[in-house]
Amino acid sequence: MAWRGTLFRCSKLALLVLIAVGAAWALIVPPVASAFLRRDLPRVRRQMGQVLQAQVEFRTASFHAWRGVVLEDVRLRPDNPRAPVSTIRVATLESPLRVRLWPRPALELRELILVRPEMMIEGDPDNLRLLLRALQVQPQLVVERPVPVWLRPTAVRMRRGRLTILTPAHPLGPGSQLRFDQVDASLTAAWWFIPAHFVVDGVLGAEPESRLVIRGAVHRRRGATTRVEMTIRGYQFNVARINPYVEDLVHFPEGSVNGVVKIWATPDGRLASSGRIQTRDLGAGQPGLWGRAAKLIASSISYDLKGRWGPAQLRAEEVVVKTAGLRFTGQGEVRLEQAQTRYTAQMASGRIPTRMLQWLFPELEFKGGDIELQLAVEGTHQRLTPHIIFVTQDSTLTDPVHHLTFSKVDGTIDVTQERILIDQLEAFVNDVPVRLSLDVVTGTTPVTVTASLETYPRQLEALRRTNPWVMRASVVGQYVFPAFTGAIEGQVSTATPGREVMQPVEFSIPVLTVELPAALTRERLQTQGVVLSAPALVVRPHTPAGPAPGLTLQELTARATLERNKVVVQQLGGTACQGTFTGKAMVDASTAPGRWEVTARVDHLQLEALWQGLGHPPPIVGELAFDGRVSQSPGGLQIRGWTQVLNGQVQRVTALALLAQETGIEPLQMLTFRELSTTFRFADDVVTVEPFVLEGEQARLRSTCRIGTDGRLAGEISAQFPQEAVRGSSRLRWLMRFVGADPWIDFDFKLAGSLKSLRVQWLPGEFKRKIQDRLSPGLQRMLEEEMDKMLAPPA
Amino acid sequence: MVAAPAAWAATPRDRYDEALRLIKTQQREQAFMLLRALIADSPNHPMTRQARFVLGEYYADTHNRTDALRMFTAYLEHPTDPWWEVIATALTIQLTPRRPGETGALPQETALKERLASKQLFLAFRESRTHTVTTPLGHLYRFREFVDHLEIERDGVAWYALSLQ
Repeated sequence: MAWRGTLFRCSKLALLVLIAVGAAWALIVPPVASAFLRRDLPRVRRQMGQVLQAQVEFRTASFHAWRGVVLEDVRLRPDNPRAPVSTIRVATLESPLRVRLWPRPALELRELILVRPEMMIEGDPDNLRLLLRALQVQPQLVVERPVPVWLRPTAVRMRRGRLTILTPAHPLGPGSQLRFDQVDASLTAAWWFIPAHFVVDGVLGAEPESRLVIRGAVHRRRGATTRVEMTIRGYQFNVARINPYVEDLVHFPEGSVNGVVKIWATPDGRLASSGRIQTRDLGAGQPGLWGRAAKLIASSISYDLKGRWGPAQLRAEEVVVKTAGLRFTGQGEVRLEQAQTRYTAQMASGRIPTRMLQWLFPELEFKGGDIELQLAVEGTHQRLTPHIIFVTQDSTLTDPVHHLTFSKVDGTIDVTQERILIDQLEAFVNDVPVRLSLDVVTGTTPVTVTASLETYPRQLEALRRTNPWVMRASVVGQYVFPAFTGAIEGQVSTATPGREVMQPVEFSIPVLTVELPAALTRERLQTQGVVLSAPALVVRPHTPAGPAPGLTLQELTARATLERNKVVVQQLGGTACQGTFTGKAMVDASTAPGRWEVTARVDHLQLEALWQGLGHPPPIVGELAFDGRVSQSPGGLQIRGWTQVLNGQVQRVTALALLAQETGIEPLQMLTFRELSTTFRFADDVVTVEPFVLEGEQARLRSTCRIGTDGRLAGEISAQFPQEAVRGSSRLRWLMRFVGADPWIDFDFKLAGSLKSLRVQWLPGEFKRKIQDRLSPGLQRMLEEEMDKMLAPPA
Repeated sequence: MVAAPAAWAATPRDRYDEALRLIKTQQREQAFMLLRALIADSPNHPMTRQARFVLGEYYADTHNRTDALRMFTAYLEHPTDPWWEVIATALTIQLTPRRPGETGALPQETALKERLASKQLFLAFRESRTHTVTTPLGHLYRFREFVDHLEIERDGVAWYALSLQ
């Protein structure tokens, strides 16, 4: 048992020695270490400066037994004297300390530990790097500028585990308008705890309502990789603000971004990332287009960051867009380089079913086939070139508001930032075939436009029933903001060669200038409008003998103001055939069906020159004045006009010549007149002439009639001829002598039937009354039969 | 029991002539039985077309609207006489039931209007040209043809008017 007593005494002695050493450490070492520390302050500053790469100043330094070195009011100044003066004020900073007594007393500072963080960083973002380095964050994670996104805070506050970074609204990238005005990072654990959780709650400066929340955690293993996991949640996140160059193409009025992204550093110093990002309620093109349930899901994104400044690649192996229960997949790649970022994205041949289009555009009606969509994007954020190719076949789009129907659309539309290419787009617009090709090269200066259009004029629809008409037009020009200068050439002809109802008509505008408002806004388009001017418009019909000389309209001017669904052309004017014409036009598509109206006035136009230019023998010559209005309204097509021809002549017309030969009324061969005027209107497929007046030395005519488009007519005509105008050898002259006619003989007829076979009643008049008084009933019957034969249509 | 007329076994023309004779002798029922048999036996014979008109007018007189319209519709597909065509058209228009307030021309009326309007006419000292037609049933139709309209009297009473406008 003696050994037990010995062991007890030894233990008690050891305990007393330990207590004595501890008391000595607590009571003696701190003052001694503090004395060493005060004596060796320059060395401590130098060591801290080497660690922090900055000049270190602090007010007091002391050593505590359990806390190690305590420095108060530490101020760091960057080594670079050109760098802005900055200060890190640390209330308390602790560091493990090793006191070395041999070979000579010294104090070694291993690391700094922030125990009561309350600091202020002002100035350059390098200060942030200093802070992170001081916090012993693995250097692999200090990715200063792996992408052209930087943070330049004016202040970073950390108080009771909450980090606040204040930035002067600096953009996150060149050309970007996305900025963080304030980022709050909440550290829920000290940095030496693993993992460290953080929350970044950002307000995007460009969008006051926008908000971006990033939650995450940093998993760190000393000497190994550090993994950061983030959950991104965005509210009303305007993606277009990231890159203003895509703002015109894609606009996201509001939306959210949610996802989990894992970032880790690989052993070779590269960053790797994988994650899944989901977007919700993103819009494209216009609000509400995608904004219902569209989801953009990007998965399997991998980073390959090479070095500090790149180049780096971001590949999206599979980009999935889910919307309306449909799924589109594609691939994308972003190359990050030091100077610029290059984007390349391919979407392989997605199909947009018509039911999705119907869902997106409920106001439109889609029928028929799907629309194939091919999307490719390439370029940098400074110049992004998307290729959007639509391939449609046998689909029908109906706009009930404007009563427009696009059916059997077949063709491709390739839209890029430098070029808009429409290659042989064929469609039926309201059952009218339209074939369009367009090439607009916007990447050059000036912008060049080459377009060709082929359609059937709706106005010739009546003729199209028997033989289709086709209009072809091509435009070649250059666009230098704000004016377009180009040339237009075209032709109207029958679609079936060899079955010409009328010879082709060519038209050309050698120089057409379209001047847009300097600021292309809706208000300017409404008030200032678009000014069109052309020195000449040449209309050249073909005749059986060949091309006509052509009709040239000179000094054409027009000003068009554009409102929503409404185009008003004012100050339309020009000269042609020694005459002037003015007019205005209006097209209003705001109502269903649409309305249009054209008002024209012509003065002093020489008909002879007009017909000569058109290559047609002139049926009538003289000086023409015209004032008319053509309008299309829900009630149908209406034409109302007034025409006057002064000092003219009706040229030889076969029917009138035959009538002159039969009756002996010579002026009918070639009617010369002082004035010919008529007021007419067209509505409900009926032309109403009230009245038609011809005043001449050899004839006076007056007529009111209604003529339908089917050739049927109804009306009355009154004609007066002088006695000397009737050929002496004619039966009429004999009859006039027989009944003793007046110097002027009058004929009044009631007309009915059709133009091909007239039904005529000779109305009572002075001349008829004399014939009835003098001729016997038998002679009257003979005369009637003869006139009946004379009016009979040719066999 | 009624014995079948001897004409039933004859040619369509003989049967038609026999029917007209029976009509003149006031044996209308037998005449129309003969005409019905003619139409049934020889639907494509030229005399059958005239028989349809006579039978249609008979049905119209007896207020058998359905059968009358059936006969006139068939007759107007292959009319035999321009004035009979006018009469058949006028009867068709009068017999066709119309809803209250329903307006608009029947296709037969439009076709007749176009045909008359395309017929050339010159009236110098008269207001109208007159034609008279007596049908096999003995109705007297008097046509007054104006340049812009047509008036018809039936048995001395104004019966039908058609504007050509």
